[in-house]
Amino acid sequence: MIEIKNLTKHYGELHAVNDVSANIDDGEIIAVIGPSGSGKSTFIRCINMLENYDGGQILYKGTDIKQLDINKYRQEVGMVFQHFNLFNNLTILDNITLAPIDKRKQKVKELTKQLKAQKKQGIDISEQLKNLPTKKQIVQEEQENALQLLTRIGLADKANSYPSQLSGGQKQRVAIVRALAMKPEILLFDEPTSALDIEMVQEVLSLIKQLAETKMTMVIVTHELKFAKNVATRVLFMDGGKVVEDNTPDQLFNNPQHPRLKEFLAKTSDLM
Amino acid sequence: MNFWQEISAVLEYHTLIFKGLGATLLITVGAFLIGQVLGVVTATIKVARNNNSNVFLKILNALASVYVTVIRGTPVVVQLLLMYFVILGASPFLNPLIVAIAVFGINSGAYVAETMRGGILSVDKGQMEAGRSLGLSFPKTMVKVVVPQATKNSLPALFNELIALLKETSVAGYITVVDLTRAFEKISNNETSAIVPYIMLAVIYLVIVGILTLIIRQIEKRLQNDRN
Ligand SMILES: Nc1ncnc2c1ncn2[C@@H]1O[C@H](COP(=O)(O)OP(=O)(O)O)[C@@H](O)[C@H]1O
Ligand SMILES: [Mg+2]
Repeated sequence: MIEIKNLTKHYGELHAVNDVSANIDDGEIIAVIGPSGSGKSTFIRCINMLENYDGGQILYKGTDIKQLDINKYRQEVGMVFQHFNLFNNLTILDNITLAPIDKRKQKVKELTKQLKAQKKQGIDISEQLKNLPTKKQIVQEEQENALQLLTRIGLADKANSYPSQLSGGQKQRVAIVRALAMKPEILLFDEPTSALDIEMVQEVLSLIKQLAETKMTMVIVTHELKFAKNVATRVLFMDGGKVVEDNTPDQLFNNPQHPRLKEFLAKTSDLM
Repeated sequence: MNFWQEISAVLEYHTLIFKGLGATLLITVGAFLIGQVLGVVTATIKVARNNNSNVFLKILNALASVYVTVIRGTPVVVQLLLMYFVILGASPFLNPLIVAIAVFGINSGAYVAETMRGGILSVDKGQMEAGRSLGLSFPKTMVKVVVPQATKNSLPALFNELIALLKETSVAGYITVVDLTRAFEKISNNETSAIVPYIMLAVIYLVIVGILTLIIRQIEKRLQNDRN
């Protein structure tokens, strides 16, 4: 689904991401691990162009993402952040529905425009125009969908609360559901549990695990090595801006090749 | 005449006083709203410029800088005179009240721009990133997420702007608007003493500012109680 070719990103002299190539296929769950500062965040943020990379290419379903409408591309590539980034001024329900409502309203606008162009050519479009959902219908449907998602994570009673009234674990689960409401093709996670108190890490990991069972394509930057080992279909180990090792979890954890990976695993063995 | 007789003599002009009060409030409110819009748009251009090298934005940003520099670098009276007598040529079709609203609005916008720029920068960068990562456009994320939070952060400064604006409108008479100040100027010209009318004028401004301050305190309190 996504092909990354020789991706490079500099900060001045520093190669934060240095000539990284990787493919992300449908249904894959890729864990990205590595020491702090190795370029994991920069790498994953380049994938949805939150960072503008300066070398290489990223193809989405065969097209260079720089040729795509960036907003439409991002509608299909969800992102979950370390610090949740829920919209502080909106209720939980509005956090979830804001983007999908906007997406669908825009789609209706485009369709209407297309239909009107047909009308100019004398084609009768009244029937099709009638079948387009109204703004009210869109809002209602998205709210229902959001409530269903909230019910699924046991937070339906928080629909009208504000982010500041939720615990860290609850916020992150809402952030995941907010990304899901867009019905994305792929989800990117940048250390989704690193900002959480230990007792809340599990609730977030188990939600990601549930998504994994639905064959959601995901790229997860994480320090939870045990989780990576159990859930990922593939693991990338990054060091100094490069992907040093790219293998199945079994091979990567039990039979590490690169000395830097061996060192990293030895240092973090208490997390396994 | 004793003091009380003078006061009741001034109050004989109540029609003129209410007309002036109306003009002052209309200019203040109208200019405040125009200033908010101009300020937010200008601040957004300045902030957007920081992480984008688009040529169009560069031009807009240059315009925004000229706007803020010129407005903040010249007295509002001079701006009024320039707009009314030079740019618009004091045409007899002009409604000076509308010109005053426009000039004070444009003036206020330059100050609000600086305040809002600070307010926008005080909003966590993650808010914009989250919006963009969901496929929302930059303007949409600004309007729905960033500006509301920035406004809330800048509320005390924006309220100060409203009060400053109210007092500044007292120079609207320079372009023949009969505002509160000009109304009392006329009254004092007709009466023997200027002391009583001008003291009353000062008291009226003081009362309006007092009422505004009370309202603002209530709003601030309510916003603080909101948990968002
Ligand atoms: N905005 C930035 N400006 C300058 N250097 C940066 C910036 N963001 C990241 N870096 C540097 O790039 C390198 C990779 O960072 P990052 O991708 O955040 O690593 P990781 O997520 O693996 O901890 C680090 O050395 C970091 O200091
Ligand atoms: Mg990181």
